[in-house]
Amino acid sequence: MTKILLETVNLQKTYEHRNGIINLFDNVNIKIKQGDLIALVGPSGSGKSSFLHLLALLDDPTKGKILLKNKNTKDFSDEKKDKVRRENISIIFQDNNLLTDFTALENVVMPLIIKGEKTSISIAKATKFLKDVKILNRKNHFPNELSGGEQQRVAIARALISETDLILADEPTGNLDYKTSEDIFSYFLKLKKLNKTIIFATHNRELANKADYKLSISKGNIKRANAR
Amino acid sequence: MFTKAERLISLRNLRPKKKEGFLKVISIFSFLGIMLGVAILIIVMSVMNGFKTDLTKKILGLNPHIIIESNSFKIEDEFIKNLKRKIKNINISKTYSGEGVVVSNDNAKGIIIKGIDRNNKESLSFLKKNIANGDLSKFKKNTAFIGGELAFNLDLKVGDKINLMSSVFIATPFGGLPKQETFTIAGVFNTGFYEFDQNFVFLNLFDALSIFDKEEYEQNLEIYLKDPMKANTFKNEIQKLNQNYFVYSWSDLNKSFFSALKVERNVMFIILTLILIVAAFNIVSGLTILIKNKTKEIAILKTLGLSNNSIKKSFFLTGFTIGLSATITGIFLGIIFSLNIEKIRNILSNFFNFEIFPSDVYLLEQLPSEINFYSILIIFIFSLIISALASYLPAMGISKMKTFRALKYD
Repeated sequence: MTKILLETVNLQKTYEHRNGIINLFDNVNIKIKQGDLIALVGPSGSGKSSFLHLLALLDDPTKGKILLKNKNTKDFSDEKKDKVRRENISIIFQDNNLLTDFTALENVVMPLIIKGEKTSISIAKATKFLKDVKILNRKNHFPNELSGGEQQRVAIARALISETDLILADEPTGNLDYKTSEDIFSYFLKLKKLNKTIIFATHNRELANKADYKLSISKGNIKRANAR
Repeated sequence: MFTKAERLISLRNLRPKKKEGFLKVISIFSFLGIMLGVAILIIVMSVMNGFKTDLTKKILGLNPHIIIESNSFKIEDEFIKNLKRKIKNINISKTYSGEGVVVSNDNAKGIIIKGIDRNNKESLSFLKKNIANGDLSKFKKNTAFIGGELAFNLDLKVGDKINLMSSVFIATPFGGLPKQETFTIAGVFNTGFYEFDQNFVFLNLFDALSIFDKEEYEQNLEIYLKDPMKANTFKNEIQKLNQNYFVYSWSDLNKSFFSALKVERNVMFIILTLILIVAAFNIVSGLTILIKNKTKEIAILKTLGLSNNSIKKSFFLTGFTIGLSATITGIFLGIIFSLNIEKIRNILSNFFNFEIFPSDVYLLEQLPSEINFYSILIIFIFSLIISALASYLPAMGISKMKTFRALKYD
């Protein structure tokens, strides 16, 4: 039986606003298995990014809990959350998600440097991943010297290098053309084969339909819908 | 102490991109401010140390290092032998001094009359070193050596006669009159110390005893040490030898002068450290702006698992590196300036056609400077503490930032 990697129990997130309390979602109970490729869909402002931030332990739920590998993350200290993220979670964003002061290679190496791995080994590993995403020739370029598609491939290489079990992608193909979007999705499929869990927020119906299933956010509810 | 990631991020923060030119300007001003603050502190402290040392040397050249006053008890020869046995390499001379009045050419002036032992080389070497006019070989009975300023004020020259009056009264048919004797000026000395040259008259020891109506046993002892800085230690040892005598070291006799110098030095240090504090505000503002500008990068680093503590440390390191490098550069600049201060003074004096540090006002022929390792260490530590605080405060703000919002809305 496939292991449950991530689980939300009665998850609620509200925001205080001067006009009152905004209830983003309420009573969310989902179970995500190891190796699942999930599309997170919903209209703009529905809370896709906020949901991913919660799963990435970057934000705290108002109520309920998130279990990662059966451990309640609510009890984790900030330091512990950083450690969990370092070892278990990779995040890919829609755009401008690279460290602007660092070259493509340095961006990819960064997660390993943060982990404290040896520089020479980290660079060799980063070079391999940059080659895999076909951007090695631009390794010494800064993000502002790369196109949107190239930046996204560097971001994917950075997410892959940590070899984490959970990859969260917030509209990773939002600013990309059809061909590049397809390329990026093919990387996700490769990751799935490696038994990695990928949750990606998207407005692209075609890509969403290629996922194992969809999580649809609407009016504070997250519902599972079959994609294929 | 700092991980590779922290060092790498800090290094990149120090190299702002072209569009962040404003930050570069702030970094440069932070660097210059602290560097100049440290350099100025070192220069001022060096000049004040040098001033103190030069004045101390002058004082030690003019005054005995320890004085033993007989206090109406005879200073026994046995005591002098004991002294010589206990303290090696010392020169002891007998002396007597007191206050009196010099009268000449219808002018009178209060002076200090000091009798010196002609047989004592140390006492004579002082006059030999500072003689301006006259002949030391003519310094015999009933002759006097007077200071250059006194000679100028009373219009006296070598060979003139002066009347000296002491505070001792003698009985005459007309009542009590101050004892007075006539002396021929054998020479004029000039030490460069206005107070000294104006107020001192040297007589032969027996002439001095005579004018003060004192007996031979009432004379005092002057001690010259090889290392005058140990005067206070020896003073205590001497006092233990005989509790009846009054023993003073040169620092006791100039206590108020050295206290004033010390107070002045400390006040200058406090005032000048304000420059450093003001300069450190540039680090605070620069780092605050940098952190604000890097909110998104901080958020990305957090998503990569870098802890809040590491992010704080990397930004702290950025500010502290500016402070540390500015402090080290400031120390070098300060030392180079201090070592060449006289040359710099001459260049500035010639350029502006204005005498900086006139020797007749400050008693010293050139601008003194003495680099003191201890002072530099204090300045170094102080500057690092200020830089660390200036870097720590903005870095602490990072923990309050909701950085992940920048990922979506920045």
